Amino acid sequence: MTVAYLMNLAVNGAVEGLLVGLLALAVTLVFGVARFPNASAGDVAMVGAYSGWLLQSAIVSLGPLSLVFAGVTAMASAALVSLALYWLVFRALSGRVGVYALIASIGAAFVLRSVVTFFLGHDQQVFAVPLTRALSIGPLRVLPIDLWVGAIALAAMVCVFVILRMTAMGRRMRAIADNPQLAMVSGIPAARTMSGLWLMAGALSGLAGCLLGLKTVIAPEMGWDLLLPAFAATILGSVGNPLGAVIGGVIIGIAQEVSTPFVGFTYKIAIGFVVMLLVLLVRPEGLFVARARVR
Amino acid sequence: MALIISDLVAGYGGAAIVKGVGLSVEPGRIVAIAGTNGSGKSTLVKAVMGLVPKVEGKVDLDGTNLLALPAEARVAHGLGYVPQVANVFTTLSVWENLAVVECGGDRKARIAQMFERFPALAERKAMAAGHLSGGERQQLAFARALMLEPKYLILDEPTAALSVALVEQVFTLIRELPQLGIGVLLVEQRARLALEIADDGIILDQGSEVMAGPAAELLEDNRMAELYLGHAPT
Ligand SMILES: Nc1ncnc2c1ncn2[C@@H]1O[C@H](COP(=O)(O)OP(=O)(O)OP(=O)(O)O)[C@@H](O)[C@H]1O
Ligand SMILES: [Mg+2]
Repeated sequence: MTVAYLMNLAVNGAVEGLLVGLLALAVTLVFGVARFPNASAGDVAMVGAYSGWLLQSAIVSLGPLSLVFAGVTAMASAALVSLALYWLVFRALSGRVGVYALIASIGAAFVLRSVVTFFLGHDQQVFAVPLTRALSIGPLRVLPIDLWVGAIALAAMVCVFVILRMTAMGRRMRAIADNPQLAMVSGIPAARTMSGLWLMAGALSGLAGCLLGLKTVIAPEMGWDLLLPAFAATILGSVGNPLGAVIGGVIIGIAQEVSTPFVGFTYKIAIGFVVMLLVLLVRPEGLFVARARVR
Repeated sequence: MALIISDLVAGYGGAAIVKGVGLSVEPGRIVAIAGTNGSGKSTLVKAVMGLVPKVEGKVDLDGTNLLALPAEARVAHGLGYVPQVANVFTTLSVWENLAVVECGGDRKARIAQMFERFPALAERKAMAAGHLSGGERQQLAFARALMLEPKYLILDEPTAALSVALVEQVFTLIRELPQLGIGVLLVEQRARLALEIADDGIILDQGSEVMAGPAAELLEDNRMAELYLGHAPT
């Protein structure tokens, strides 16, 4: 095992980490505003990946352009599923303690997975991606697709931060996250703002699922497998802190990949949680102060 | 035209905290609600705003029955509220605290007005509201509520955490509100202080009215001193 090999793993881990971070961002946004850990985010991502794949299968003759449409479809369909879950399930539970919504979200996750496997089966699927050679950058060998995946994930994150900081909708979301009662008596329309939040979280999840599908394969369990490290990343980066979620995701992605030669592929998810637990021992509030919330 | 509260019973699910209270505020007047710690003042005004789970009775704002409406809609009917605690969005900047308010009309012009009125806030536009001093924070809480151009404004112990000098400053602000045509419902623990600037007053004890009437008369009443014995009237 060489240093170059480990470095390659680290790069691969960073790209996967960005995807973990993307889903963690969706989880932390919902947590900051709706105040519960949304366990359906992973399966919403899976729905996004499958709908992107279905669309691409139909228009594969368009070449690489079909992937762009697949990405847009993944985001749109996941956003709609996410919005539907809010209106059908989570809105009614919003006055209760978070445990109700958490359990409901686990249920929603299983329902989504059942629906997808009922219609599309359990088989793994892949996007039709043009074959390319790995680029050599010093000792690193990077696939162009990984560069694309990483760049798109980063761009999506920048969009989220711009929406949160610079738009009226983002301001309303941060106000509700900060103080829901004061938001109410400031006339901020709660249902409309929450709809925007769930659409945004859904689109992020869908993109994460689609990009993960591009990088690896599309499978019914992919969302759940991405959700666990995303939860770890959310906690690592201080729950409710968007930037923390992204950084937490990258740390966990790198830790998982770099550890595989030592512990094997099966245990890499456990490594994410070990990293999280170690950090929490030193900093119980997570890497970043809770005060810096969505908020 | 008035905000009329009658036979209001309110609580959080267990026993009623407010047990049948009535009062009315007209535009341009100040009504003080006084009472000791835990007498139910905040619960009363929260019930009027729609922030308490169990409410019975009647709240009528210029002919609209408010109890049938959710909190956001009450605000749209012209009811403003400055809560006792957590009355600004601490993680939003000063400017964002005002910009986020859902007011009809020209938001930019209104923000400019507020900054003209509260110059200290204008200087700290970009600062997170959580970093403001106590006095500035209270100004921001007022400005946020005034963004909605309320017809009636509820102030829940606006001076509770402030130094003596700042208390005077806030009371000056409150005295100006009736000139804007606003009806003020002022909650205060310190009855005397509140009654001095109020037109009318009501004294609560354990969720029930013990005295009510014109502020000047209440100030003369011996029972006030009795009620506040051991509570150090101000
Ligand atoms: N969210 C709540 N849930 C349950 N009980 C509450 C809640 N808020 C207040 N109470 C109870 O209601 C009673 C009245 O409280 P309230 O805050 O209305 O009093 P207050 O007159 O505003 O007091 P203070 O002068 O200290 O602000 C108290 O016994 C309090 O414990
Ligand atoms: Mg109170």
